[in-house]
Amino acid sequence: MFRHLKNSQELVLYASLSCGAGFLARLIPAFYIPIMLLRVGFFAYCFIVLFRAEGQKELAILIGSALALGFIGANLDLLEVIVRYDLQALVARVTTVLVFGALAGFGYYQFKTDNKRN
Amino acid sequence: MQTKSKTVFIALSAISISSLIGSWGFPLQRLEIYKQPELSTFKVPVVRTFLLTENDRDYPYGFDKSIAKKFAQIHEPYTVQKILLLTTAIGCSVVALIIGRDLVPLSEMEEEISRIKAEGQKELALKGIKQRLSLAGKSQQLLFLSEMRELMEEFGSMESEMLEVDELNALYSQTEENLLPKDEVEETKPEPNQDFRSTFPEQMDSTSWKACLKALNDGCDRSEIITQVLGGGSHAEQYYEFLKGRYL
Repeated sequence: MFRHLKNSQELVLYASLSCGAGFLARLIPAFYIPIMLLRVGFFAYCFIVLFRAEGQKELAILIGSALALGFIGANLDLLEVIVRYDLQALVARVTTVLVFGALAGFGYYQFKTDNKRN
Repeated sequence: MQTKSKTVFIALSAISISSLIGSWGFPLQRLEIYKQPELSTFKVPVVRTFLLTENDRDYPYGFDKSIAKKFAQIHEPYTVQKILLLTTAIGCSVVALIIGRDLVPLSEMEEEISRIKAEGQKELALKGIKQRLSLAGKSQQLLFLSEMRELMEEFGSMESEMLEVDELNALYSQTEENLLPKDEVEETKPEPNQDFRSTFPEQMDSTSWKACLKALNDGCDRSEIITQVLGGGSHAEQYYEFLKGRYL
C-alpha cells in the first residue's frame, strides 16, 4: 500500500508542476507559447520512449500522465465555461482532433504492417 | 516511531491529493463571454461566442466590440486560493516522498516478515494435527491388540479344551461298552484294522479331523494332508481313510 501511495505522490508532484505551468500560461500570456512548446516536447519524448525505445517505460508513462492531468486541471474552469456557453465549437474541435488522430494512427499502423511484411 | 511516520505519510498524501484536485475547481481569472451575431460563408446567420479574460492583451480574431453583446461574466476569481492549494499540494507531496523513501522498504520488510510468520504458524498447526491423528491411530491399534490378547488368553486354548472333551468322550464310550450286554456287543460290527492307533490314539480323532478339514479348506489335496497334517507314512494314510469313514 505504501509503495502505491509513494508512486501516487510522484504523480501528484509532477501533475502539480504541470498545473502550475498551466496557470502561469493563462495568467501571463507571454508564457503561453513557451509552455505549450515544452508540453509538446515532453509528450513527444514520452511517445518515443513508449513506442520506440527499449527498457523501462514507467517514467515515460508517469510523466505523460502527469502532463495530461496538469494540463486538464489547469484549464478545467475554462472548460466548464466553454461547455456551458459554447459547446458547439468544443464538440467541433474535439471531433476534428479525434478524426485526424484516428487517421494518423491508422496510417502509422499501415506503415508498420507494410514494414513487417517486407 | 514508525507508526507515527506512517500516519504522517498517509496524512500528507491525502492532503496533497485533495489540494491538487481542489485547485482545479473555481475560476482562475475574470472572464467575459460575448455573443456576436454574424453571417457565415454561405450567408447563414450564426452566433459566435468569444471568451475574453482580464489577462488578454488584445481582442480575439473576428471580434467586433460594436456588434458583440456581453452575455455573461465571471467577476470573482479565486486566483490566490488556487495558487495556495497548488503550493500546498507540491509541498505535501515533496515531504511525503522524503518520508516514503525510508518508510516503503521498511513496511515491505514488515509485511514479508508477518507473511512468513503466518505461513510458519499454519504449518505448525497442520503438523500438530497430523501428529495428534497419528497418535490417536496408534493408541487405537494398541488398544485393539491388548483386547485381542485378552480374548486370545480367554479363548485361545480351544485345542486343549477339545482334547479334554475327546478324552472324556472316549472314557464315556468305553464305559458304555463295558456296561452293554455281551450279545449286543457281539452284534456290533467288527472294527477294521487299526494299526495306526499306536501313532494316532482315539482322543486325537476329532482334532485331527478338524486339522484335515482346515487343510482341505486351504486347498490342499489328499497327499499334502497326509504328509503335512498327519505326518506322512502308511499309518497316516490308514488314519486319514479311517477319519473319512467315520466323519463323512
